[in-house]
Amino acid sequence: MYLVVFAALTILSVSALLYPLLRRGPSATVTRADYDNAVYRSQLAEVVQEAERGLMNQEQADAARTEIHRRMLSTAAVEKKGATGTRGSRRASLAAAIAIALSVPTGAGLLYAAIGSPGMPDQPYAERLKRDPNVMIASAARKLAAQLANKPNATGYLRLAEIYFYLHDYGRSATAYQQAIDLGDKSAGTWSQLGETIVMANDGAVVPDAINAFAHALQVDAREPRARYYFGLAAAQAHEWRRAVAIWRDLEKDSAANAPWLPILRQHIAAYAKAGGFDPASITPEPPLLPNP
Amino acid sequence: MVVETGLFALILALFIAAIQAVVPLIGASRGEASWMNVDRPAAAVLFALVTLSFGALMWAHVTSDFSVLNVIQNSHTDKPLLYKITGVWGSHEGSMMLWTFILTLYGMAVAVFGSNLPPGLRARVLSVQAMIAFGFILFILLTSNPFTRVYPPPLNGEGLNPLLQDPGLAFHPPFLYLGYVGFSMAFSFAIAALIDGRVDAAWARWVRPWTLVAWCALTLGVAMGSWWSYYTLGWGGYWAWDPVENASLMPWLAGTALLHSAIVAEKRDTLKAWTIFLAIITFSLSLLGTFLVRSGVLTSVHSFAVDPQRGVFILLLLTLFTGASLFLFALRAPALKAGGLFAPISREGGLLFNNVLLSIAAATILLGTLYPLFVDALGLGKISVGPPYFNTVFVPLMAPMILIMAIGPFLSWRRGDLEGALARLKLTFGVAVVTITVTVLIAGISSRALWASLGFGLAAWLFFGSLAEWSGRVGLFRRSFGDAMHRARHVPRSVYGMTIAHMGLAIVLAGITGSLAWKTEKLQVMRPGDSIMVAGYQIEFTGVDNDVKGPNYTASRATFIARKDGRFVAKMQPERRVYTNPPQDKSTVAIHTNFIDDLYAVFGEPDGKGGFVTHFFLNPLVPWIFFGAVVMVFGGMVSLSDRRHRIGAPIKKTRIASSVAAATAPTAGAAPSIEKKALLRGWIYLLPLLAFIVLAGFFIHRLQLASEGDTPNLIPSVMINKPAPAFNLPPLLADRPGLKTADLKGKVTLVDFFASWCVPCRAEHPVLRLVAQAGIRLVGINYKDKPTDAKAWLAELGDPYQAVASDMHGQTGINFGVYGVPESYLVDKNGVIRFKQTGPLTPEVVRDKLIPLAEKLER
Amino acid sequence: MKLQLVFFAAFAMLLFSATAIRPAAAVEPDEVLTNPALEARARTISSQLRCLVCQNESIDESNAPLAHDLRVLVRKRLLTGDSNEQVKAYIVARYGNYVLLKPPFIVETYILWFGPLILLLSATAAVIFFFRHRAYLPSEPAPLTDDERRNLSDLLDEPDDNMGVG
Repeated sequence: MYLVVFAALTILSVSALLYPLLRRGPSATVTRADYDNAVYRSQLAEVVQEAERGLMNQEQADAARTEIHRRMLSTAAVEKKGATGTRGSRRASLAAAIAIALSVPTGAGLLYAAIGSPGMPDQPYAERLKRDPNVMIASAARKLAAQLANKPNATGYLRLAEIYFYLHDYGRSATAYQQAIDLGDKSAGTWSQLGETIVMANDGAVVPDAINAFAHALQVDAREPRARYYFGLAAAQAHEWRRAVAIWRDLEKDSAANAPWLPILRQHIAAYAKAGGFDPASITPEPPLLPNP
Repeated sequence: MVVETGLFALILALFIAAIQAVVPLIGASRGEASWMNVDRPAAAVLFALVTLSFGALMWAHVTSDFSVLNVIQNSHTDKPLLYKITGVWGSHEGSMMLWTFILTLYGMAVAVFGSNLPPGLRARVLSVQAMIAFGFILFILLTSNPFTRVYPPPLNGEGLNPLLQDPGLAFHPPFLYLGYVGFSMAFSFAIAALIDGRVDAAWARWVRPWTLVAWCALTLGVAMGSWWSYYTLGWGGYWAWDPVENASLMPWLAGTALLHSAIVAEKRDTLKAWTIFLAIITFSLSLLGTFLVRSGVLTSVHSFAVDPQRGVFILLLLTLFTGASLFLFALRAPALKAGGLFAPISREGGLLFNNVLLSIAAATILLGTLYPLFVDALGLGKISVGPPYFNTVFVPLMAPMILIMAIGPFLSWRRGDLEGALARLKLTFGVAVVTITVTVLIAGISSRALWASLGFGLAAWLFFGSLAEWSGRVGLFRRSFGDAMHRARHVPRSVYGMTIAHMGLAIVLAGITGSLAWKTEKLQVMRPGDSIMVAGYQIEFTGVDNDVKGPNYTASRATFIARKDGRFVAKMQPERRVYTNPPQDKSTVAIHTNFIDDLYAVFGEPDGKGGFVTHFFLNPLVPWIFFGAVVMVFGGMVSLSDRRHRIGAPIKKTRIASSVAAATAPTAGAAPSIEKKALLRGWIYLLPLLAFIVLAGFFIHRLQLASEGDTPNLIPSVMINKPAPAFNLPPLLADRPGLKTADLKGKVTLVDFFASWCVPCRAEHPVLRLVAQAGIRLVGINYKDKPTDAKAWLAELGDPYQAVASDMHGQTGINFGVYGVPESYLVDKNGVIRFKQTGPLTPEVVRDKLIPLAEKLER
Repeated sequence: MKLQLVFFAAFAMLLFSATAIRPAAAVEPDEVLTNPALEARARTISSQLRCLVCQNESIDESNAPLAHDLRVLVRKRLLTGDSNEQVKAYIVARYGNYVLLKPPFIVETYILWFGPLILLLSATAAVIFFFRHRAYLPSEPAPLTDDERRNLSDLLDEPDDNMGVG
């Protein structure tokens, strides 16, 4: 489809250029001096008008007229001397036309191939809003955020934070979690989700702000699994592998057999035990050590 | 589809421009009519393609197509539709598209209105226009492609700078570009004439209306920019002599000169080389402005994101266009025959005089704008050239010009009667003297009042002088009223245009004078309910609404009620806005105008104790500045409507050009033979080219520095080789000693200014260990920091300092010449500063500079 | 070296983002001196001093912290009895001529200050040259000779409808 449009554009443009080259017709007989004389005659008419209106006295008008007359004469003389007349060589015009007809489409096509994105469709926002679930969600999030700005409530912010998290917009998500907490939702789950979002925002690093959030979660509920998992990860990132494995084994011990995180948890335990060169079973499960508030 | 079509259309336009640049030019030089005739269809196709491309970009912006990088970077779905459209030219890429669109629009105009132009001239003009278009389209495609695609598209855009979301700024670029690019017409005509080797009557007739169009647009563009500064920047300043402003003023001055010299060229067939020179210079100054603003050679509050690569390309275009045209000028201009003669005192003489002053004014601004760069390049240190310089040199240049502006129109062509002209200005002179006297009587005797009286006197002189010229022309007081009115109707429109535009300038001048002389300012903390008096207005602060919601911002809005003599005058509501995408603060002022003065209110930060900083100005006569500019533009448009500009085309004749006997013609030449002096005078025509070569070479040097990472912001210290300033600071940590000047003696010491709030200090911190390890004594001065924060910072990162002192108020920092932490000073054994590092120390600097120097000083 | 500049640029950006975008009056109420004459002098001086971390702004117009410190310093110096020139000299001694928006008249700026004058003089010389080298201006151009008249009538003897409206 787009090739048709491009071709049509090219053909239209090039044929407009070729028309004067290929047209057979009498060449103009108007000379350059004629154009100048048209101006001079208009100047003469002005002089007449101005003199009639008394804007110029007779002497000035005569002088101006003489000057214009002289210019007309010298223009005519120049024209005579260097009369070139227009000529038209059919063969040259034809060659030029062929050169244009070939070079423009080729050049444009090559350059477009080099810098264009052939076939890439438009992505107007309204269209994407209909088709792309992520765009719909993002749009819904913005509406929700606007509503919440007017009527803040903890549940709404929690929902908003989850949407942002889903959209990988961790910065906004963390802010929304913090809002929910500030508005009274101080549950262990919300704290630990805040912590996880901060970790995500920092490309997986368990930074002090995140630890702080996880600590809050564990103060509310010492068994909160997500916070315990990340405490383990924090220890692992600090190269305290035994301590990490101890925390995770503690979590493993408390988890139900069908807990969704168990496979990945076991994988982690095995991997870090191997890295540290010890047997995971030899590590006594230990709860995370909360930092002093 | 639409977006890709836009890109393809632009690429196609590039090749059409190439054809349009080459074929008609060859046709004109070889007299091939069919080749020349390619010019008009090509110009029309070029315009259509660029319009299509520009439209496609606009479409992408309006539909928020985030698969286009340019849309991502400058738009957001929450942005109001108006700013989605104007945001198209808010970015560098989009503004270059607008530039090109306007350029091809002018080309189209030549194609449409050009039937009364000799075909050879028209073909050459359109060919030169196409060369410019080719250069700029290539520039867009290679360095600033607005159609760059992104996959997958992000969920939303990054938004537009809130400063650009403003009607004044949104609409001033199109006018500015209509002006800048409009001068390309005069330029193309000039080049065509130089190629042709002759300037004929049709040429001069044609150049003037196009210059007038460009001049009107540029005047409006500059005025709108100034108006924007006035209501945005928050202190009522409308002109700051900023490089970007200067870049628009220079072509304006040169264009104004061109406008006037073109009259002489047409009417009297003389000053032709000068007119051509001005046409080249005016457009070159427009290009130079573009280069300066976008290349990073100069910094400015208004500049675009800079990119040295783009700078190189624009410099290339500038060199090509200006260099080639000045070369052509040096080659061909000496051969241009001068036509009509005139006495120094004549209409032509007056216009020449104004031309000289306008050109010198433009050159002076160029000198002042570039001078700091020259001094820096020559290694003579850094200096600033700011408003005080420009004001000092501009006034003495403009004052005589305005004096002559009132006299010139009274002088007749060829030879004027100065005494007669002055006699007819007697009354005007009286009015000016009265104005000066009254101003002094009101304002008292002070230097400010004297300047004000001079300004008002000149404004009155020009205003009433222009009126007097008109009334004299129609014989208002010499003939019956009916007769005068009859004559008034028949005065050519171009003469009315002149009178109106000159009066507009007088109004602008009065506005500038008034605003400089009698500005009142009040700054205070106010609580809701407080009232103050500002220059006769009683202003009551009724309250603050902290919950104002805009489409993409939230704001605090203050409400002030202004009263005069107890009567209500205005409700004023300035705001402090916080935009969401991108998150930025912006303050909007409230202005109440009665067309004589403006009451101007700014709402500042809360003081934390229930009060707010409020700032009021009474700006007298400022509205006149903008009104006067509009009057000037109106004058230009009236002049443009003169039917002289609509001269018809000669009809085709059946017989070949007149059989006039040429034998007598040579003797008829009115011009005396001055060709024999052409060789002698030829070198004068080379001067502009030489000057330009020097300038271009300098810019290349500058761009090279920029690509090596030199920024114009680094300021060398004047403290080098001077004793360290006296100070005696308390310790930061209680258990450690403080620091005083005497402590620096005896051993080579590095004094490091740091702060916990300073981001680069964190980067510098590990490097400080290298200094300590090298055996250099390292002391720290904690600059404008909270001691607790600084202590926590040192506890976290470690404390490499042998002593840390606290400079809470930054006084010691100022004495050292610190302008931004981190900065460090190497002090020798005698307490003399030997080296300064601005910005964070790096391992390279420590290894290559600091340690060798310290070892040398220790010996 | 490169790295350092990147850092410096980032650092400069931080400073600018705090200044350029927040357009409010720069001078704070608590800086203002009670003596109106001294305050007026302080304003005059500070409008002539460049804010070092800004782009082409005077310290009077800038919100940058350093500009604030310098404004306070200017007022302090004025209170201790310095003249305007002494205050400027005090700041120039620390930051160099760069802080002066009106460049001082020194060898380095001769071209800057004399430039306009040199241009004016050379333009005047050029104009005088222009008039001197042109032939004497006759009061009126000589009337057309008979030959010229004859040739001219050929040129003018053309249909008047040439003057179409374009």
